[in-house]
Amino acid sequence: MVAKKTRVAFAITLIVGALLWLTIGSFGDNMQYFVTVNDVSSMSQEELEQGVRVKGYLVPGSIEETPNSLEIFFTLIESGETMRVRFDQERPDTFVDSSEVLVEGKFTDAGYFEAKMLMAKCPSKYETTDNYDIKDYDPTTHQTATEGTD
Amino acid sequence: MADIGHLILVLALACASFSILAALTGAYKERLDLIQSGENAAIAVTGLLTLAALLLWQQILGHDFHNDYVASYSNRAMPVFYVFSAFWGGQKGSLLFWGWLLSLYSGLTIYLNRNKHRELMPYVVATLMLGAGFFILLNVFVSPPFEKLWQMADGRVIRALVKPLGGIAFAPADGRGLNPLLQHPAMAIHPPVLYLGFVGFSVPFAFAIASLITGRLDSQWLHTIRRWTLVPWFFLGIGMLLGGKWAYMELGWGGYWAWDPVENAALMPWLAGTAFIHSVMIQEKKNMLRVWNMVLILLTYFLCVFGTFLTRSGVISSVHSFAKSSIGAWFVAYMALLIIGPGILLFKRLPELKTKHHFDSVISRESAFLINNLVFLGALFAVFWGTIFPLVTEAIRGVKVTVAEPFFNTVITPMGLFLLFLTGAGPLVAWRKTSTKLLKKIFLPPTIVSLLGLIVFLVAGIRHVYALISLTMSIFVVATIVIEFHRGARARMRNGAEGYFQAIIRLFLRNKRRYGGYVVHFGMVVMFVGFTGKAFDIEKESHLKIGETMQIRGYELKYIDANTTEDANKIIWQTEMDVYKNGEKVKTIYPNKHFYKVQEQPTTEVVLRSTLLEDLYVVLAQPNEDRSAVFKVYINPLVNLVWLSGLIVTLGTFVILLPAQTEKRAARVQVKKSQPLETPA
Amino acid sequence: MLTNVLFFVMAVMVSIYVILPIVQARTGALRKTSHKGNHRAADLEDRKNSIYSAIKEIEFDYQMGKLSEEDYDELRQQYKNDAVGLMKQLDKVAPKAAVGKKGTRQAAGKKSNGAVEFCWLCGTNVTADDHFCPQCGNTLGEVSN
Repeated sequence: MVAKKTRVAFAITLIVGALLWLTIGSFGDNMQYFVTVNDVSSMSQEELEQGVRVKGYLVPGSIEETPNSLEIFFTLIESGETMRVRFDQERPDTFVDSSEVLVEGKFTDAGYFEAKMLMAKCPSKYETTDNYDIKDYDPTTHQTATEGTD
Repeated sequence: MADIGHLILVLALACASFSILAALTGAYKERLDLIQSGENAAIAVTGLLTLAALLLWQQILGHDFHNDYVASYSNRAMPVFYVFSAFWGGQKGSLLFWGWLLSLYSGLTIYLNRNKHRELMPYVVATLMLGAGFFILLNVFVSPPFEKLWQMADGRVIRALVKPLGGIAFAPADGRGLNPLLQHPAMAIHPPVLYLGFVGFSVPFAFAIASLITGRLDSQWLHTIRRWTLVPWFFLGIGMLLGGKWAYMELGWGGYWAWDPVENAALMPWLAGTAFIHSVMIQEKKNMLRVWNMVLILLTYFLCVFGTFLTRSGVISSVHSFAKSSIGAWFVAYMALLIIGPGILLFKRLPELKTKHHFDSVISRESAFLINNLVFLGALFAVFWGTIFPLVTEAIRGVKVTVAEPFFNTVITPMGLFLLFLTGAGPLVAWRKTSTKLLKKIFLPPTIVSLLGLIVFLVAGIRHVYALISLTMSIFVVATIVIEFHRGARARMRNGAEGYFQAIIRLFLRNKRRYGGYVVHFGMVVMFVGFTGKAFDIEKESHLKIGETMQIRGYELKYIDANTTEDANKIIWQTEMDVYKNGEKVKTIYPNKHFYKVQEQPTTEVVLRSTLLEDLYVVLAQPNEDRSAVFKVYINPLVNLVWLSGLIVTLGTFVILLPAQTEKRAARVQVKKSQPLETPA
Repeated sequence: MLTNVLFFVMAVMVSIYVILPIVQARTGALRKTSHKGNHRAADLEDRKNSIYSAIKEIEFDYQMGKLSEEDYDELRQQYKNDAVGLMKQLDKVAPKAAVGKKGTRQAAGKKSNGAVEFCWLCGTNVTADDHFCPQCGNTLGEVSN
C-alpha cells in the first residue's frame, strides 16, 4: 500500500516538475522590455540589443513608402521624443495617422528601429476611442477637449 | 431627470442589493418569506435589465445620437445587423450586456430550482446578485450607457447624465460608427457568445459558494451544476473559435491565434473549466478530490472575472498600467473579494472536505484524470504567468517586461500533445486499476493503427517532429474512440437483440455523457489536426503588374485587372486574379481593400480559395497608382478543420445536454420489448 | 414627464412584487414551515441515482473487457453497500417512498411498503411483484430484506 502511494506521489512530482521546467526554461529566451518611445534614450545598449517592444503614436504624415514593396519608414512619438522605424511586412488596417502603435524588434546601426512585428491599437480595445469629439484630438499630447469624464 | 434607462439601472441596483440582504437574512432566520422576497427581487433584476437592454437597443436602432454611446459606436451608414451589434461595441454597452446576461442566467437558475435545493438557493441567489450588482454598479456610477450629450453656452459639447446648468441637448447629425474592422459577422456574434461563457460560470460558482456556506458538501451540488458548467464551457470555446475566425478573415496576417492577452483572457477560464469538467467525474465515482474540485470551480470563476478585467481595463497592453482606466480599480477590489471570501470559506470547510480515499494505482482512470488535471493546470499556469508577467515586473522593477509569442508556443505545444495522448489513453483504462496484462491487450490495437499511420506520414515525407507526433496521436485517439464505440455496441448486442447501428444509437442515449464526451474528444482531435497544419504553411509576397503571374506551392496566380470605385461610405480598390492549380484554372478571386471615409481607416478584405485540405489566402497588401499592386499570399493547410471541429464539439455537447427524459423513455421501451435476461456472467 | 410617470409606476410594481411574499406570510397565505425533510429525501434520491449510474458504468466497463473480474466484483459490492445504506436512509426520511415524481407514481401502484422500486444493479424501474429485474436479470428483493 505504501509503495503504491509513493509511486503515485512520485508520478505526480515528476509531471509537475516537468511542467515547471518547461515553463520556466522557455521563459528566459523570450523576454522583452516593454517601454514607450521616450524611455528608449535612457536604456543601455545591452538592453536594447536584447530586443524590445516599444509603444508610441504614429506621427501623422510620417509614413514613407518604398515603391513596389511593402517596406515603409515611419516615426513614432511619445511625450515629445521620437523614433524612426523601418517595417517591411504588410501593415495592419488599424495602422493609420495618430494610432497607438506597438513595435517589436531591435535597433540597427543605421540609426533606425527595425521592427519585426507591428501592432496598431487592437480593434477589440473599444475604450480607446471613448472620447467624443475626435476632431479635438491632439496627437502630440494625446488629449481631447472632453477627456476626463471616464 | 436622467434618462429612464439610467433610472431603471438604479432601480435594478437597489433590487440586487435588497435581494442579497433578504436572501441572507431569510436563510439565517429560516424565514421562507424573506427568501422568497429575495428571489422575487432577483427576478425583478432580470426584468429591469432586460428593459434597460431593450431601451439601449431602441436608442441604437433609432439612431438617437443624443445618447453619447449611440453616437460613439453607430452611424446611419452601417447595415442594420451591425447597428444591432453596436450594443456591445463599446465598454459601457458591454458591461450592461454582461449584467443583463448574468441576470438572465440568475432568473433561469431561480426558476429551475424553485422547488429544489431550497437550503442552497438563498446563498446561490445572494452570490449571483453580488456578481450582477457589481456590473450594475459599474453601469450606474462609472460607465453609464445612457449618458447624454449637451452643448454648453461656450459651444463645448460635454457628456452628462443630467442636463447641466446652461446646457442644451445636443445630437450630432451622424454618429462615429463602429470600427469597420469589427463589422464582420463572426465579430458581431463573437462577444455575446464569449460573454455567455464568462458570465455562465457564475452559476456553478454560486452553487459552490452555497455548498461551502451551508456545509452541504456531498456531491449534490456537483450534480446540479454539471450542466451549468458544460454550457458556459461550450460557449467560451465556441466564442474563442469565432474570435479566431474573425481574426483570420479580417486582420489579414494569415493566422487566427496570437497569444494576445485578450485571447488568453478567454483561454484561461476555459482551461480551468475543462480541468473541472474532468475531475468532477472522479468525485462522482469515487468521492475523491473534493477540495481540488472546489478550488477548480472557484478558480474558474475568478479567471472569468480576471479575463474581463484584462480585456476591459487594458492593463496589459498599455505600458503604464495602473493609471489607465478607472474601472480597473473596481475590478481589482472585486477580484480581491473573490479571493478572500471563498478562501476563508474553503479554509473553514477544509476538514469536512477532506476524504480518506486515495489513489489505488498509477494506472487507472482516476490517475489519468489527475494527470489530465495537472497538465491543464500547468498550461493554465504558463498562460497566466506569461500574460501577467509585464504586471509583475512593473510592480517589482518599475519596467514592464513582456514574454513574446514563441514562449507560449514552446510551452503549450508539448502540453497540448500530451493532453491529446491522454484523450486517447484515459478512456481505455478502467477505474481503480488495470492489470498490466489487460493493459497490453487494450492498448495494442490503437497503438498498431497509429504506428501504421506514422509510417505512412514518414513515407509521405513529413519530417516536422511535432507534426508527426500530433498526427500519430490523432490517429491513436480516433482509433480508441472507434474501439470504444465498437466494444460498447458489442456489449449491448450480447445483452439483447439489437442490431449494430441500433446498439450504437442506444449507446448514445443510455450514456450520453460518456459517448457525447467521445464526440467532443473527436472534435478536439480534428482541431489538433487543424493546428498541425500550421507546421506546413508558407507565405510569399509579390509585386505584380497587370498580366504578371506569381507561383506558390502548386498554385499560379495571374493578375488580370484592377479598378477603383467609390461610394458614400468608402473607397474600394478591387483587383482580379485567376488562380491555377497544377495548370488548371480553379477560381477567379477579387482581392480588395476598402477605405472607410468617416473613420479614415482601411480594411483589407481577405479572399480565400478554400478546400478542406488547405486555404489559399490572398491579401491585397498595397494597391499602387499605376495599377500594379503588392500581394501577400499564404498557404494555410488544414485551417478549415479548426472551424469544423467547432461544429463537432457543438454536436457532442448537444448530445451530453440532451434532457434526461429521452434516456428514461428509451429504457422503458426496452424493458417492454426485451425478455428477462440471465445475470451477466 | 410621461417617462417619469411610467418609471414611477414601474418602481411601485417592482416593490409590490418584491414585498408580496412577506405580506403573504403575515396573512398566512404563504406557509412558513420549512421543507427540510422532503428536501433531504430529494437529495438522497439524487445520490441514489448517481450510485445507480455508477453501477451501470462499471457493469458496462466489465462487459467491454476493461475491468477484471475481481475488480468488478469488489466494486459492485462496494456500490451495492452504498445503495443499501441509502435505501435505509430513504425509508427513514420518507417512509411511504413518496419522493419525487417518479417515486410518487410508483408508490401509487404498489402494495408492499419499503420494497425495491429500482433494480439496485442497473437502476431500471421495477414493480414490487418482480422477482427479477427485466433489464439485467438481477435477483430483486435483497435490499428490503
